[in-house]
Amino acid sequence: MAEADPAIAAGGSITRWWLVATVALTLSAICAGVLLAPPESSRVGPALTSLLFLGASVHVGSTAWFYGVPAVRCHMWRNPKRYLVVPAVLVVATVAAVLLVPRSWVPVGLLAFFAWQFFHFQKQNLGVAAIAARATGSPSLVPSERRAIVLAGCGGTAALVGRPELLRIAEAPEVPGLFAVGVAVFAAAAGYGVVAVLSRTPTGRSPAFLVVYLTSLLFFAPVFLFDSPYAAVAGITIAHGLQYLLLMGLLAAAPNETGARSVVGVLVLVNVAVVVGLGLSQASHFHEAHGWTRAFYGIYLGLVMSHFVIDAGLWRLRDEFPRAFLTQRLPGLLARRSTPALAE
Amino acid sequence: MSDLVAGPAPVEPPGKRFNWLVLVYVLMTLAVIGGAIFFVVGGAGADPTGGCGGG
Repeated sequence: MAEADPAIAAGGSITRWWLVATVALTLSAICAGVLLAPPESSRVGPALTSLLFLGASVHVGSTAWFYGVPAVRCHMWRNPKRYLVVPAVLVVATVAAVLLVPRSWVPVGLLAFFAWQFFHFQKQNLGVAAIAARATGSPSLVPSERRAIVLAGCGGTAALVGRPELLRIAEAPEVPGLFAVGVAVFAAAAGYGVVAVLSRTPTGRSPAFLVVYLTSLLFFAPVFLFDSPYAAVAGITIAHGLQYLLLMGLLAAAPNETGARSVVGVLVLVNVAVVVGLGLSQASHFHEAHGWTRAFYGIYLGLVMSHFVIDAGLWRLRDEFPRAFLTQRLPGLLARRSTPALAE
Repeated sequence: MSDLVAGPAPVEPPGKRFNWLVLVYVLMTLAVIGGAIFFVVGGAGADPTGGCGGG
């Protein structure tokens, strides 16, 4: 598949490797969530616990690595609102909320948090599909293709909010009919997306790009197929994190602005991600705490939401700095190229 | 004086020096990963979204 595509060949082994790894990690994570899901009222096993730690807390923790990259730190200082002020406000506000708000309000707050989290998942899938278009030399995603992916994510998110038992939120309010709305929106968006992508010319839809696009479009399918919370949700949580860690690993391993490449850079990323991830994971267990220690739970929620905000800025290829930084580090994936047929 | 007789010290071939810094980082990374596995797997488990915030 990859050898028949000259654009993938032009990108080199990193393009082939990233395309295969992204799809393989996504699909195997979803399968792992299904196969390792514990029976109801049983404890989740060590394998799934480890995968969830990697896909959730470690991937969020890896965002801290960006603060150690001089070029990114400069960009953050020039844009303090997104990278400094908003994260600080989110942490302080969430700590205040968990300490002061009546406990009966917490499930509603958690539903809003998870709605944002799953929308963030789908924004990443949109980004992955956009990168796949660049990496394979296919034309950029057109508005209808982008809209389909975002709407499919909205459908999946609505379905999860409509069935809070899939998120294991105790005493969450049920919104009658919301799950059915989610089904309808997801199905319509999936059909719309398939029609949109198949209407590309044959040279504009390489098999590799098609596979990544469809994986992004149908990402939330497990939510509609399984009643077990772990089978429905854990797999997509792990898949999201592994996609992110793959890209972060490539960034850390890439030559920096001076052209220097260092294995120590990758090891620093691993250490930062695991240590910060461990802190997040432990903090998340304070949701049942009383007194001031409950603040750790607020810090956990605030930092996860900060990750959503920071990511939305640093991976936005339409903005000048992210485009320049990411293209300089990952030219094999992001440097614009076109197939000979499209160039004529 | 002995250098004039024996010649200059041999130049070490490039890329042959062992990078102790990398070894330290690798050992540190393994320790961090081991510690994380101990805490995470031995802990209270995880909800499907990866945290333990489901209540």
